Amino acid sequence: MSERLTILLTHQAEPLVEAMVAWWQRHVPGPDILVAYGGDRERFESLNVPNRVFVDDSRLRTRDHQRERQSFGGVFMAMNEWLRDRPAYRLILLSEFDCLPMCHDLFGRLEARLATEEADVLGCRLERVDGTNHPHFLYHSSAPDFASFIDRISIRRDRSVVLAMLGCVSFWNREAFTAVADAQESSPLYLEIALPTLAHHLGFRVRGLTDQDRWVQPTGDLALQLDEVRAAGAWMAHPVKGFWEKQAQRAPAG
Amino acid sequence: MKKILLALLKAATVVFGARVIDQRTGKPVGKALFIPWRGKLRIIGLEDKRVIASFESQQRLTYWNQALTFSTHPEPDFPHERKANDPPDASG
Repeated sequence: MSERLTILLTHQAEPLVEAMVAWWQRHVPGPDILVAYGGDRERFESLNVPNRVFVDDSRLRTRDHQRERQSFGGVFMAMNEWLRDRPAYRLILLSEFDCLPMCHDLFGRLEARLATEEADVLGCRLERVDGTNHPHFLYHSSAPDFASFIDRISIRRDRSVVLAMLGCVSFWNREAFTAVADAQESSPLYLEIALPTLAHHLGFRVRGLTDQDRWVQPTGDLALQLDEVRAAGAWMAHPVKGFWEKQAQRAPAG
Repeated sequence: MKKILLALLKAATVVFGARVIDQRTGKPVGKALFIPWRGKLRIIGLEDKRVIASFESQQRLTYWNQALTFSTHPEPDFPHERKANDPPDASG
């Protein structure tokens, strides 16, 4: 068993998920791959991949993600349950299906950066947002239970700090991942606030992959620019739309 | 209708917006329209910028006007505190 685990979060149809896993195995060799499936239960049951977990959480299946405060709480809880019997995993890459690796040694690069930064969590577009005009912060600060929730879980002296980062890709050491998974159970937070803020207040060091921010974007589609993005030095690209559909057409799974 | 209004406001921000300077770094943040509305100041044009509004301190005591300024947080760079300061329920 590897020490390295890549968790791929998806809700797509079976052939696309199977194509995605096969592609990751071929292009980013080394880490084990676990599919966290947020789609239909029936589709999940017929998935033909080595490792899979069904995420049964209504807060993952939101329509207006920001206003409904979409959560990865169910994802982290399901992963934590799966990890419980697998103590060997030390490092975890969590990636949404539309975030595409741009290099074969993505995991090694992230691992080296984690060590260089002496960090526990790495994320893209990480920023401190408390006291600012950040819309997600302002939306959360209107909720009566927001400050009290932070206050309850925090081991930091300054409980006012609120961080935000994109949820599409993040890199974790096992301890931080597990602790955040436990804290997420009662979290009323939107995932882009929850992941870095919980990790920070639980005492972990969260650092931004600032040199990668330009290629990991909240919206848009980088599908037509992948060669340029790769040549420019990207480790990963987000969002990339329609990629797994093309892969599934080229090489049907199985 | 709302989309048209928003597009017009954004265009107006580009033309008539005031330059906002980050007081921490001295760098320009962007352009914004400041619109008084029902006892509040609405700010349009900084949706992708994270700024903190605060009144500027005064080196010379002045009663008749105060300056509202904008600054940003530095990049998050907080130390790992877990080992030194674990919560009581996780230490035993």
